[in-house]
Amino acid sequence: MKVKITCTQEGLLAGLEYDLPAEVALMLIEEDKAVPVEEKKKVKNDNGQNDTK
Amino acid sequence: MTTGRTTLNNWRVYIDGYDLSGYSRTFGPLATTFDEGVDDAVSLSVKAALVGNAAVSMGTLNGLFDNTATSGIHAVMKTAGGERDVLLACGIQAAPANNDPMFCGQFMQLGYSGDPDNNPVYASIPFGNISATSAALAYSNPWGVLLHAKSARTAANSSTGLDQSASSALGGYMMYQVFAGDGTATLKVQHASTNSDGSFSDLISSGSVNCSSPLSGVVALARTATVNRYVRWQLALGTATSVTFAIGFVRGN
Repeated sequence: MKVKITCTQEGLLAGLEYDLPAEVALMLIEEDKAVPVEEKKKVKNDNGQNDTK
Repeated sequence: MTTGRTTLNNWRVYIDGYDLSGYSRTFGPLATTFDEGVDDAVSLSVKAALVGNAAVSMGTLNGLFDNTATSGIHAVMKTAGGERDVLLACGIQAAPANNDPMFCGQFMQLGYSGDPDNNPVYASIPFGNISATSAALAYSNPWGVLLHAKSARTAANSSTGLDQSASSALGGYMMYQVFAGDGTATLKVQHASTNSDGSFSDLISSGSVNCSSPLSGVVALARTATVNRYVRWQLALGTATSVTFAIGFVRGN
């Protein structure tokens, strides 16, 4: 699970994104030490063009 | 934020979660200096210096001796040799307000001495440079903004933030000073590209801390972390219903 660290942990620097095991990521989010990073998805717009959201 | 000149009586001194302003007379010099190399010739047009390797110092804190239990300057500062979280808030023509300048760092306390020759008795507390164990050791700039001036809060912040002109990708760090509280809470700096409440996301967090007794800390971002243009303080209450705190933020440069 992708998260952005907000409170530096051992081996995890604040301000950077990490792909962590779900249980670790969820624990950090629960402790207010990380925020989830929304994965960008390709979507088709009304005008037929692809975009990322 | 008011702009203009100010005077010493508008500064406030916060150390390790204690407000020592009422005991402090002078402090400084607040210095950021780069040493010259020992082999720098006088003819060098630009003197050599290691980038990002400045010596940051807050000089000496001169205060009035007071042995009030727990919170007096003697009780708080009598043990030298340790690292202190120091936040010096610079009010402009008044007591410090949100977004005023501030100077902060984790400094080694080099000594503590009383001077009984004077009346009242002075306490003199010299500080060394930024501590080698400081979380913000990678940063040479101790000057930032007081995102949250000392005051009690009972709810989260839904206001817009401070416009710092542009985003940057040079990290930054937060110092928090918690003076009082009645349970756990998380102190944060949030950032956004658009200055509206719903746009802010967490940038730096203290993690959940117990605010029942004074505490302080520094949380530093990685040196390459992106900080968006707008920043603001944030409080997430845990078991606490009220927290009295100050937050300083330094954007990396």
